[in-house]
Amino acid sequence: MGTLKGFPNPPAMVRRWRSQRASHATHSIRWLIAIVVAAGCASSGKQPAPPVQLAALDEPSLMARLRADVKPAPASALSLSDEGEKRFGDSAAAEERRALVISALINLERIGSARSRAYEFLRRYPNGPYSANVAAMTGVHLTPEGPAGSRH
Amino acid sequence: MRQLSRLAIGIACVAWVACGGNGSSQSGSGGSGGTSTGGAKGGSGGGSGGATGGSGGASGGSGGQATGGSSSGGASGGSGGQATGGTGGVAGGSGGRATGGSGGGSGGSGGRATGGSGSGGSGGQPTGGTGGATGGTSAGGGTSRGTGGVAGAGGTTAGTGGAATGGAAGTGGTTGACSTSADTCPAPNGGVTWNCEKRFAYGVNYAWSYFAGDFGGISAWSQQGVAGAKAARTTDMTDMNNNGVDVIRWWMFPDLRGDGIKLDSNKSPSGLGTTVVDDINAALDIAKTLDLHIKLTLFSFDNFCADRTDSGLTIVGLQPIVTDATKRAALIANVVVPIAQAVEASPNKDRMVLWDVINEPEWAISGSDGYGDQSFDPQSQCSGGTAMQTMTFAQAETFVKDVVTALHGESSAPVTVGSAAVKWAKAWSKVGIDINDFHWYGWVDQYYPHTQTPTQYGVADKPVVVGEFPLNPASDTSGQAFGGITYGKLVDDFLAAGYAGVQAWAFSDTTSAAFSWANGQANVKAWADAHPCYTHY
Repeated sequence: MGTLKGFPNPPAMVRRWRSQRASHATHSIRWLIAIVVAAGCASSGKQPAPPVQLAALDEPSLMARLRADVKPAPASALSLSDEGEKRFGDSAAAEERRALVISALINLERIGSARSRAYEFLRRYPNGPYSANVAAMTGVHLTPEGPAGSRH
Repeated sequence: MRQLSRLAIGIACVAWVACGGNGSSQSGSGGSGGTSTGGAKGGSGGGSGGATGGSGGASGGSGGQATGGSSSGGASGGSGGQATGGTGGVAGGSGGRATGGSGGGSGGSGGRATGGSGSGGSGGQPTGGTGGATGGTSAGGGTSRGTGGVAGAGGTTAGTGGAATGGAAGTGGTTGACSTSADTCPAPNGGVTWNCEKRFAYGVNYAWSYFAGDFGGISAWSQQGVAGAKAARTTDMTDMNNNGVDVIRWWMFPDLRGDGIKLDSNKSPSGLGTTVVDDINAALDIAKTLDLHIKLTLFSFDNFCADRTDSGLTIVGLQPIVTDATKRAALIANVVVPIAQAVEASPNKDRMVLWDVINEPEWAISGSDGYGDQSFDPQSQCSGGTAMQTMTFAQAETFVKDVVTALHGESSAPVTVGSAAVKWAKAWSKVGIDINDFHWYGWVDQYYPHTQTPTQYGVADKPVVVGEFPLNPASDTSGQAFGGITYGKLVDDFLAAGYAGVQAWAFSDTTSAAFSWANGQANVKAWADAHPCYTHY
């Protein structure tokens, strides 16, 4: 049996049931419960991924989890992003991390917060690979500043 | 085994609920009538004229001047409109303006068919001389008569001489209601009716050449208003025109960095900058020359950024002004009213197709509107990191309503608010606007798909324009919003769903590929070319 999407490792209760050797019928029912609960929780977007020790993640692992969580578990993605900001700052993955957090805020329908961050993002990365998507999603367009900021 | 299956299904249902599985539902509301606005243009049967003429001047041999009452066009069947009040005596002031009722719309349950009520003309000027000689005429509105205006007050005692007769009563409308048969190519679904032509209001956001400087200029930065840079503005607008644009959304004062609005020592608006009226006239003149139309956006949420300094200029925030009754009244009297009067006085006022009170005010509002919409979600900061100064919804509603009332009082063009999203569908339902206007970026589409109709969103009581959306919607690569569709498909969808017009963002925004005119102008032209008639007034 392969892993469920969003659950690279089977939940603890699944592992427990997996080790049990009950009757065939009972075993089937328990598997059904496990599958339905896991699939339902994953698709609802309400439940974060299984807890992890964020401090134990290296940046590639953190980014992988951030990408995986941004849609189904945006609150978790926010935590991962905060952790990434603290530990990895302006690393090579910072631009993607900051774009993902804006998506996570949109997925939480916290649009004012997403837009506030989008201003900073677009100013810092005006022509980056994620900028057009951030602009199209948030509707943020930078306000011209100073004499050089306007179009002639 | 069958029992096992039933058990499994039961467990699945319980588990779904336990995990917080959430369904969604769209509640639709019954279709309601659309609103059409427009002055009279041909046709027969006018609205009623001014009810009575203004009274004569005061006694004592001085001839006051009086104005005729205004008329209001009633409405029925969807073709009502705004009627210009009759003019009074020869030199009298113009009559008041009244808004006709809204007509019934197609596909709905019939709109309101009430006639508008007229308001009296203002009193005459206290200058001496002859009194008004003839009554004015009024342009009628809808097919059913509205009530006439009340008499204008007579002029006050003034100079010597002159007859003391007031202007005669305004006569009934000489031109009548819009005739459906006279409109050679009405928009097939939704549309905005202006001068008896129902069109899919097709265009683009300019949205500025100089941010907050096109109307009034920014002398400290050597940025001229439209009149001073008319050739350059004509070049821009010719570019838009050549690409099929008809309606240009143009921002006036998204912040107060420019010279367009004068403030006194108490930071209260005291008047317009010296070039604002010329700039308005120049914009309308260019529009006339190129056969374009303009939608002027007075303010923006950007105005609610806290006071700040940029390149030597102090930019004052609007929040302390709109939340202070005295300062707000000054803003209306010294800024909004003179602007509306300038447009109305222009020989090219027919180019002014729509007023937009404020761009996306929701980003500067805290709390909720109390009309059943979700709470607002204001920005914490503005572009550049300045803090946003929010207002309550009650404060915002009062401000917007005051501006709408002032515009209606001075201008015949319809009025809207450029709302950030249909998420707050009811927020501006009680301020007297004529057109609904919602912006549609990716986040909106993610939660409120553009393929849903105005009726499904409960906003079909008025035509619904989409005043902003990305010129290059395929820039959304998240797969959560527009789904990679083209500009043409997006506009097709808006048209099919019954929206009344679209203005993409933007001609002048070079900050993002999502908004790039260079990338999108060919698509704008292609869509216009494929819909050549009902996209142009």
